[in-house]
Amino acid sequence: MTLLPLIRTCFRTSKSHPLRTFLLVFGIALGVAGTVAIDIAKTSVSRSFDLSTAALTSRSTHQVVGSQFSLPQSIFTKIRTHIGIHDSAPVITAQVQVKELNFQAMTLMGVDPFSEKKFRAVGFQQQDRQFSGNLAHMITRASGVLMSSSLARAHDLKVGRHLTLMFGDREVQVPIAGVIEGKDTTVGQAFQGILLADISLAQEILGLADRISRIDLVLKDESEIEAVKNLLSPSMVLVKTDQQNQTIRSLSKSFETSLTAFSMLTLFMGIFLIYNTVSFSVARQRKLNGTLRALGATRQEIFWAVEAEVMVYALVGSVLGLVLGIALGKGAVHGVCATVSDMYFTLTVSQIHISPVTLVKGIATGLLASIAASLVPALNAAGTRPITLMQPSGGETSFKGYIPGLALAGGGMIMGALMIFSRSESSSTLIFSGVFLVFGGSSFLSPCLVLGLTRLIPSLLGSVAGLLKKGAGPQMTLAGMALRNIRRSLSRSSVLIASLMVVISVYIGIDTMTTSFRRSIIDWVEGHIGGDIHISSTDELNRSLDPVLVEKIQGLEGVSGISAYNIHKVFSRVSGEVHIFSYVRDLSEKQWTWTALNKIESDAIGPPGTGTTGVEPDGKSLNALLEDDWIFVSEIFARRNGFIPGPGAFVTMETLKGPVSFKVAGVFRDFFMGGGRVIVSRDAMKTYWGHQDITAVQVFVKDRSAIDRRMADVLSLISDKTRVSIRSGLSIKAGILGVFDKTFLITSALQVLTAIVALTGILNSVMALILERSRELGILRACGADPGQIRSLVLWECTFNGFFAGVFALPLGYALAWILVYIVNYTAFGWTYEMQASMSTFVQALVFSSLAAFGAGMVPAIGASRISVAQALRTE
Amino acid sequence: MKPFKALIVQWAMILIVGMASGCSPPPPTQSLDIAQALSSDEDSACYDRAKKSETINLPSDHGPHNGFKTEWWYYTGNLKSGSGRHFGYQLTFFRQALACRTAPGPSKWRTNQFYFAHFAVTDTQNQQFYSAHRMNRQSVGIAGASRSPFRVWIDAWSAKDIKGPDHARPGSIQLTARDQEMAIDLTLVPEKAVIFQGDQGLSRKGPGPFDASHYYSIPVLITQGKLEIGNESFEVLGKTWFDHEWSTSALGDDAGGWDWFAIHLDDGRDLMVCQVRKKDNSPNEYGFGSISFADGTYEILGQSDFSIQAVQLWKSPKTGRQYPARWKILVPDHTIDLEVSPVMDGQEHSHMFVYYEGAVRVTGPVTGLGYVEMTGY
Repeated sequence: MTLLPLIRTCFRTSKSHPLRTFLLVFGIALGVAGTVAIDIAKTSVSRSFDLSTAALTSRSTHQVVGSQFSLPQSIFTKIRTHIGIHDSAPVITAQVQVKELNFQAMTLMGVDPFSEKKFRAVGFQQQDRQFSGNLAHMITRASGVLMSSSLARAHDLKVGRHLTLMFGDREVQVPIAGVIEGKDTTVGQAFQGILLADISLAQEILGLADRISRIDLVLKDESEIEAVKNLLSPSMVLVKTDQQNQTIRSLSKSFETSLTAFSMLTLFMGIFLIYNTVSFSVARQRKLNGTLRALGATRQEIFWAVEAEVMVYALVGSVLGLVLGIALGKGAVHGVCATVSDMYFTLTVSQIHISPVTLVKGIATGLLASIAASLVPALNAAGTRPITLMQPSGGETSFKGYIPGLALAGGGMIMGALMIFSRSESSSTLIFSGVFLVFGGSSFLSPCLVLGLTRLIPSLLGSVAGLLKKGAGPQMTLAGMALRNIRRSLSRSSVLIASLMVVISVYIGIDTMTTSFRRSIIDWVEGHIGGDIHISSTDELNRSLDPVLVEKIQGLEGVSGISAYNIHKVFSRVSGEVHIFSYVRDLSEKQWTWTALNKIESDAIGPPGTGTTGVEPDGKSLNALLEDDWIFVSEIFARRNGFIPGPGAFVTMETLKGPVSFKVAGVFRDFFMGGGRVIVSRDAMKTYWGHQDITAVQVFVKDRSAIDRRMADVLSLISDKTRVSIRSGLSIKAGILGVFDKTFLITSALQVLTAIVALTGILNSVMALILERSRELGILRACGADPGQIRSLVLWECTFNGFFAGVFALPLGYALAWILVYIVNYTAFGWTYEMQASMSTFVQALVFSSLAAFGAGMVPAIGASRISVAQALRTE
Repeated sequence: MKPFKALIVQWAMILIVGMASGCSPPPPTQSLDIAQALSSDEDSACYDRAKKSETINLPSDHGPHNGFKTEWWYYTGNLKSGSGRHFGYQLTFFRQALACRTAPGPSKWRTNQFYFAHFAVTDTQNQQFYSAHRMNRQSVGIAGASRSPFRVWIDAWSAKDIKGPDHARPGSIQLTARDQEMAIDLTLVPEKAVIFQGDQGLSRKGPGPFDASHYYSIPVLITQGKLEIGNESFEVLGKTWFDHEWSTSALGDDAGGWDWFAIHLDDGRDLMVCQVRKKDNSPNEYGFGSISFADGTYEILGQSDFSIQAVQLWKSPKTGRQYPARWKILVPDHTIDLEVSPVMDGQEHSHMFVYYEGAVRVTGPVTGLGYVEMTGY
C-alpha cells in the first residue's frame, strides 16, 4: 500500500465529518490567533513608542533641559559662542491637536534647520523643486509647517492648505509649507506624528517668547561636558540622552511586560487548545487506522498519513489564525495606544507593526503544538497491532504508570515557581517562567488529582444515594459509572480537565485582577477627587487662576470647603516628567502605603508592593512635616527614584536652585503613570520652583443635589469663561475611570477568548471521548441500558470533567491573580493594590466550567443514545 | 573679486536643503548649474545693487551690507613659527540674504540672513591640510556681523576689531577659530593702505549694468599670534591678505571656473590676479587684479595686463578632480615673471564645498608666498 491513497482516505474521512474538521481547524486557528494578536499588540506598542520618540530624541549624546521643561534661548547662544560647540541644536516640542486630522494628537516640533544635520535624519525629496522652494520659505519666512506626505495624502491635504492647531483653548492656523518624505520607512513613519516647523514659527505659535524646550548636543569628551555644565544655571540640567530615552522606554516596558504576561497566557491556552483538538482528532481515527493496518498498511505509512493530515489542517488553521490574529491585534493596538496616550505619553504614531517574528511564532505555535499533540497518538496508531487499534484506548494502563512521575514533576515545577516568586526583584523573563511553571506543574498534577477525586466522590455519592429516595439511586449509579469512566480513560480526560483548568484559571485570574484593580481605582479616585466641582484653567500657557476668584468661590453660599492647589510639571533626571502639587488647602484623602510618622512610631507598615495600607497617618503631623520642607511622593515616584522607606530617607529633585534633597514624609498610592507625583508645601513650591499661583480648585458643596446650581454660581463669578473649565467631580471621576477601563480592553478580550477556547476545547474533547467509547456504550445498550440512561451517563461524565477542571482552577486562578496583581503589575507599572478575591468569581467559574462541559456533552450524549447496538458490537 | 566666493554662496543656498534634510549634498556637477545659478537675477530686484555713486567709506564699510544679497570677509595668510616652520591659514566668513526682508513675527529666531565660514590650516612640514566649516542663521547671536566695532562671527569663530592702547593702529583685527584638530588666535595689524579694487571699489564682473560688486582689499596685515595643531601650539608671525566684497550681481552664463592668486612678494610688492575661465577653460574678458607697491601705492590690473599659465597638473585622490599644480604668472608691464607652486599637494576642501584653496610658494627672479583659489575643475 502506498502512502498517497492512505492520506487521501484520511482526508475523505475528514471531509465526511465537516463539524469535526471545522473544530480541528478552528481550534488551531484560535490558538494561533490569540498568540499572534497579543504579540502584535506588544510589538506595535513598543514600536509606536520608538517612533513617537525617535524623531524627538535624535542622535544627541546629551540634552540640556530646564527644571520646568523650558530654557532661555540665550543659553544656546552661549553654548555656541562662548564654548564653540557647533554640534548643538535648539528644539521646541509641544503636543497639539490638529482639527483637519480628525483632532489627532501631533507633536509640534520647532527646529533650526541649520543645526539639524547631526541630529535628526529627515529625508526630503531632493528632486521636488517645488518642495525645495517651500523649505527655503520655511527657513526664511517661517511660512508654515512640514508634515508627513503620507499623512497629508491620507487626509487629502496639500501644500498651502491651512491646519488648525489646538492646544488648550487656543487655536492657531498655519499653512502646510511642505511635505516630508522619509528616506527610509522608519523616518517616514516617525514623522507621521510630527509637524515640523522652523523654530521661530513654533516659538510664536506656542507663545514661548525667548524660550525653547531643550538643547540637543553631541559632546565629544569630558572637557566639553564640563564646559557646558559650567555655563548652566542651577535650573538647567545636562542629561545623557540615553538616560532620557531610558525613561521613556521604561514606560513602554510597562506595557510590554503586562502584554507579555497576557501573551504568555494566550500562548499557553493556545497550545492547550491545539493539543487538545489535535490529539482527539487523531484518536478519533483509531478505528479507521486499525482497518487500514488490517488491510496491509505499514506502521510508517499509518504514522505519516496521520501526520500529513494533521499538518495540512495545522497549516490551514495556523494561516487562518494569523489572519484572525492580525485583525484582533489591530484592534488591540488601537486600544493600548489610546490608553498609553491618555495616561501619560502621547503616542503620536500609532503603528501597527507585524513583525515576521510574530508571524513565524504564530505558525510555529500552530505547527509545533499540532506535531506534539499528534505525535503520541500517531505513534500509537502506527505501533499497535490492528486488532488492538480497533479497540478502545489501549494506552490507559501504561498511562497510569506515569501518574506518580507526572505528579512529582508537577510538584517540582510549582516549587520552582514559588522560589522564583519569593525573590524580591525578579526579571520579567523569570516571572514569566514562573507563570509557565505554575501552569505546567498544575497540569502535570491534574491526573493525580483526578484519580484522587474520582475515588473520593463515589463514596460520597453512595451516601448521597442512600439518603435520597428511590428514583435518584439509578442516577447516582450512573454518576458513579461516569466517574469510573473518567478514571479509566485518564490519559484523555486528564488532558481535557487540565486544559479546561488552565483556561478557567486564566478567567479567574484576570477577573480577580481587574476587579481588584478597578475597586482600588475607585477608592483612589474617590479619595483624590473628592471635590464636587472642579475648576481649572484651559490656557496651556498660563494655568494660573485668579486668586480673587478663589476667595469668591470660598464665600459662595452652599460651599462647605475648597481644596486649592497648583500643579506644575518639572523635570526629573530619574523619572522624566514629574507633577508637583502644592496645596493651599488639601481636603483629599490619600491612601498611604508608608509614612515617616508610622515608621517612626511603629514598624507595622509593610513596604510598598505588599499592598499594606497601614494605619491612617495623623494628617496634622504629616502637614507639619510638609511645612518643614518634607515632601510626599507617589509610590510610582518612590519606585522610580529607588526610594527605600525609612526614617530620614530622602529623594533628590531638580529645582531652580539645582538638585535639592528632600526628606520624604509619606508615600501615597497613585495610579497615574509617568514619572510620578510629588506634594510639597506652598513655600517649597515658591522657593524651589518659583510658583505661588493656584491652578486648580476643588469645591465641596453642602448639598450634593444642588451641584448644578453651585456650578452655575461659580460660573457667574468668572468673567472670561473660555479660559476656565468647570466640571463636576462626577464627570471627572467618570472620565478617569473611563481611561482606566480602556486598559481592561485587552483583558476583557482575553476573557472572551478564554470562554471561546474553553467551549471549543471541551466540545472537541467530549465528542472524541464519546466517539471512542461507542463500543462500550453499545454493550451497555445491549445489556439493557435505555437511551435516556446512556444520555445521563455521558452528561454525568462531561459534567464531572468540567467540575473537576473548575475545582482545580480555583486555586490556580487565585495563584494567577496573585501573580498578576503583586508581581506582574507591580513590575510593569509600579502600582500596588490589594487583591480582592470575590466569591462570586469563583462560583461563576465553577458553574461556567461545569455547565460548559454539560452543554458540550449534549450533542454527543444524544448521539451516543442513538448508537446502533449491532454496529457498535460488530467488532466483538 | 573672487568669483568662487560668490559661487560658494550660491552653493550654500542649494545645500541648505541638504543640510536641513540631513542628506549628503549631491555631487555639484550633477546637481547644480553654477553659471545659471549665478546669472539668475530672479528675486534680486528688491536687493541693493553695486553702483558707481556709492563710494566705500572705511571703517564703517568693514561692517555688513544687509541690503545686498551676498558678502564675504576673506582672510588668507602665510605664517612661520619661531623655528621657521611654515603654515598657511584661511578663515573666511560669508553672508547671504535669503530674502529682502525678514518676515514679520516677534521671535528672535526670525531672520533673512545666514552666515557660513571656512577655516583651514596647512601644515607644510607634515604635509597636512586641515579644513572645517560652519553654517548658521543670523539669529539669537549665534552668527552675524556688526559695523562698529567691526565684528563678524559664527559660533566662536570670529574676526573683530581690537580696541585698546596696545593696538594703536586702526583696523587691527583679532581672528579666532577652533575646530577639533586646529585652532588660531591671531592679531592682524594692517601694514599697507587699502586697495579699492576696480573703479574706486566698484569691480565690474560682467556686461550687464549691475554685474559688479563693491570690493576692497588690505594687501598686507602683519599677523602674529598662536596656532595650534593637535596638541602642538606655535607662536607664529606672517602676513595676511584680506578681501571684503558685497554685491547682488551675478556672473555671465559662460563662466566655468576661476583661478585666483594673492601673493606677497619678498621685494615688497603684493600682487592679486584672478583669471575667470569660460566653460571651455579659456580666459574670458573679465579677469582682474591689482599690484601694490612697497610704498603702499597700488595699480589696478585688467585682463590684458597679466597672464596665468598652468604648467603642471595634480589629481585629487579624494575627489578625482584634476587641478593645475604649478603656474607661470606674467605681468609684463611690471617685469613680473613668477613660478608659482603649492607648498603641498592636497589643499583641497572636500567636506561640503569642493574647491582648492591653499598656500603657494613663488620662485623665480623674485620669491614670495601667497594663496591660490581654484574652482570649476
